[in-house]
Amino acid sequence: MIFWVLFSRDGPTTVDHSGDAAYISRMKIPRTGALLLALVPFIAICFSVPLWDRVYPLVLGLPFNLFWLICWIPLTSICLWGAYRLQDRGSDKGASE
Amino acid sequence: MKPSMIALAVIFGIVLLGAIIGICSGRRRQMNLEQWTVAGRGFGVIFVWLLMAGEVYTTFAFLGASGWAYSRGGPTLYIIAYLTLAYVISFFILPEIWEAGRKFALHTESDFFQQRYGSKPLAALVAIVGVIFIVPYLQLQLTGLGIIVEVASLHAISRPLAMLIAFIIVAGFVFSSGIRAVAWVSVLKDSLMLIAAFSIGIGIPYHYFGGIRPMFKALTQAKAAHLTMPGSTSNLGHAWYISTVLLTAFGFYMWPHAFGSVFTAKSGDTLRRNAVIMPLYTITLPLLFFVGFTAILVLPGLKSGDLALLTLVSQTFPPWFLGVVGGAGALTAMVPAAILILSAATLFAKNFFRPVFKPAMKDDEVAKLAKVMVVVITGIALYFAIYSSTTLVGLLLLAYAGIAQFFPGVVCGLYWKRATTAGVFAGIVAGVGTAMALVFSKHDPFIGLNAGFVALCLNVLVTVAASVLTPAQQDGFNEPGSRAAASAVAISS
Repeated sequence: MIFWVLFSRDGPTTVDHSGDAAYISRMKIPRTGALLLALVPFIAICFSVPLWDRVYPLVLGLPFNLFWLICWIPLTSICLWGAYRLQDRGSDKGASE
Repeated sequence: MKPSMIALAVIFGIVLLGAIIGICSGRRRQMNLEQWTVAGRGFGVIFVWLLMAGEVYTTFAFLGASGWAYSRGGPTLYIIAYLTLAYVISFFILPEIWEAGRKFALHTESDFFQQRYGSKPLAALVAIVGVIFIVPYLQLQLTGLGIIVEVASLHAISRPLAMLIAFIIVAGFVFSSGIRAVAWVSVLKDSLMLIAAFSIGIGIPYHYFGGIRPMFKALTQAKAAHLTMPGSTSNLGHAWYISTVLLTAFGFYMWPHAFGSVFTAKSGDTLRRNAVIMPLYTITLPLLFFVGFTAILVLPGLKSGDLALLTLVSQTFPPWFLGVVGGAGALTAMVPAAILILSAATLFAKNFFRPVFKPAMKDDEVAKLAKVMVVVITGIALYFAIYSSTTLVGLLLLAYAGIAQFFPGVVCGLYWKRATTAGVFAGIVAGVGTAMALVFSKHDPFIGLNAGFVALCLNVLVTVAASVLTPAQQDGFNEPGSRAAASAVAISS
C-alpha cells in the first residue's frame, strides 16, 4: 500500500474538471461509503474507549490499550485506502457519464 | 573536559550544522512560507517521507508525550488517537480547501474566510485569534529548548537563563536562515529524531529491565492503575479522552501554518493520497511512551514529568549521546518554532494590521513590520515560558482549545450554503471566550469533558443559530474564480 501511495501515477481524479460545474458540486459531498469507512477508526479508537481501556491481557508484552491503539494505526490507513478507492471509482463513473 | 561540556558541545554542534544547512540550501532553492511542509511537492519520495514523519515530532511529542506518560499515564494515549484521526478528517476537508484555494488564489486561512464570507472583520478576527494561539504553541517549543539546555548542562544553567539562550538561538535561526531553508534542516532533524527515538525507545527499557516486555511486566505489578485512564490523575477519564481526541483531531489542520500548507499541494488527489499514508507515521510515538513508562520505576519523584526523558538519557548513556539526543530535540523545537514565528508574524502584519489599521501599507512595509513582530511574538512567548509552570502537553491542549474554534467556520464554509458571516463570527467569539473562561477559571475538565470541546459544541450551536436568524448571503466560493490565478497554477503543475 505504501508503494501504491508513493509511486502510482496520478489517477483519473487529477483530470482537470475546473470548468465542469456539475463535477465540482458532485465532489463536494463525500460518498456515503467513504464516510462510513472513515467512521470505523473513530468508533474503534475514540468512542469505544471504555471497552478496550484495560491493562490485561498483555499482548506481545504491551498493555492491551496500547496494543489496541498501535494496531489501529495501520488499520486506519487501510480504511482510508478503501475510502480512496470508493471515491476514485465514484468519480470515474461520474466523469464518464 | 567535564561531561556537561561534552553534551553541550555536541548539542551546539548539531544546532550549528542545522544553521549551516539552512543558510546553504536557502540560496539554492526558492521556497515560500508554505512549501516547507508535507505539501511541498518539489521533493523526491524519500524527502517527502522524512518531512511527513517529522510533522509528528515536535518537542511536544519528544519531551511532552514521554513526560505525560511518566506523570499522568493512561490519558497520554489520546496523543496516538488524535494524530491518527486528524488524518481521517483531512482526507475529506483538505481537497475541498485546496479546490477553493486554487480557484481564488488563496494563501492563508484568513484569506479563506475573507473569500467565503466576504467579510474583512471576520478575516481579521481569524488572523488575530490564530496569532494569539500560536503563542502557547511557541512557548511549548521554547520551554522544551530550555529543558534540553538545563538537563544537558547537568543543571549548571538555570531554566530561565536556558530559555533566554533558546530565545536567542530561535530568533537568530529565523533571521539568519529564513523560511526557505527550513525544509532542508528538517531532513537533518527528522533523521536524527528517528535515530534517537528508536535507540532510546528500545535501548532504555532494555538497559534497565532487559526489554519492553519485562518493563511492562514490572510496571503492571507495581502500578497497573497508572496504565489505564484516568491513570495518575483524578479527572482525566473516558469522557475526557473522547472529548479531547475529537477537539484536537478537528483542530489539527486549523493551525494557520498547517492550513496554509494545503494550498501548495499539486492536486486535491495528492492530499487525499497523503491522508491515506499519514497515520503510519504515528507508529514511532509509542517508543517515546516506553521511555516515560520506564522512568516511573527507575526515576520516581521527578519535579516535572517533562524532565523524565532527558534525565533518564543522561543517567543511562555517555555524555556525547545525551548531546545527540539533546541536539535532535533542539532541532525538533527550533524548526517548528521558526515556522510558527514566521506564520504568526506574517499573519499579523498582512492579514490583521494592514487591513485594520493601514490599508495603504506597501508590501515592503508589511515585510518590515513582520520582522519586528518576530521579536515581539517570540518575546511574549519567552515571558510566558519563564513565568508559567504548565506541562508541555497542558500548553498544547490550551492552544488547541482556541485554535479548534475555526473548525465550524471552515466546515460550514465548505458544506453549508446557509452559513453567514454573523453566524461564524459569533460562533468563534463564543467558542474562544468560553474555552478561555473555563481554562483560566480552572474549570478544565468541565463536567468530565475537555473545556475546549465544551466550547466547540457551544460554538457550533451559536454558528448554526445565528446563521439561521440572519438573512442568507452570497457564498463567496460560488463566484467565478480569478482566471489568471487558475491558469498560473495550471502552468506550474
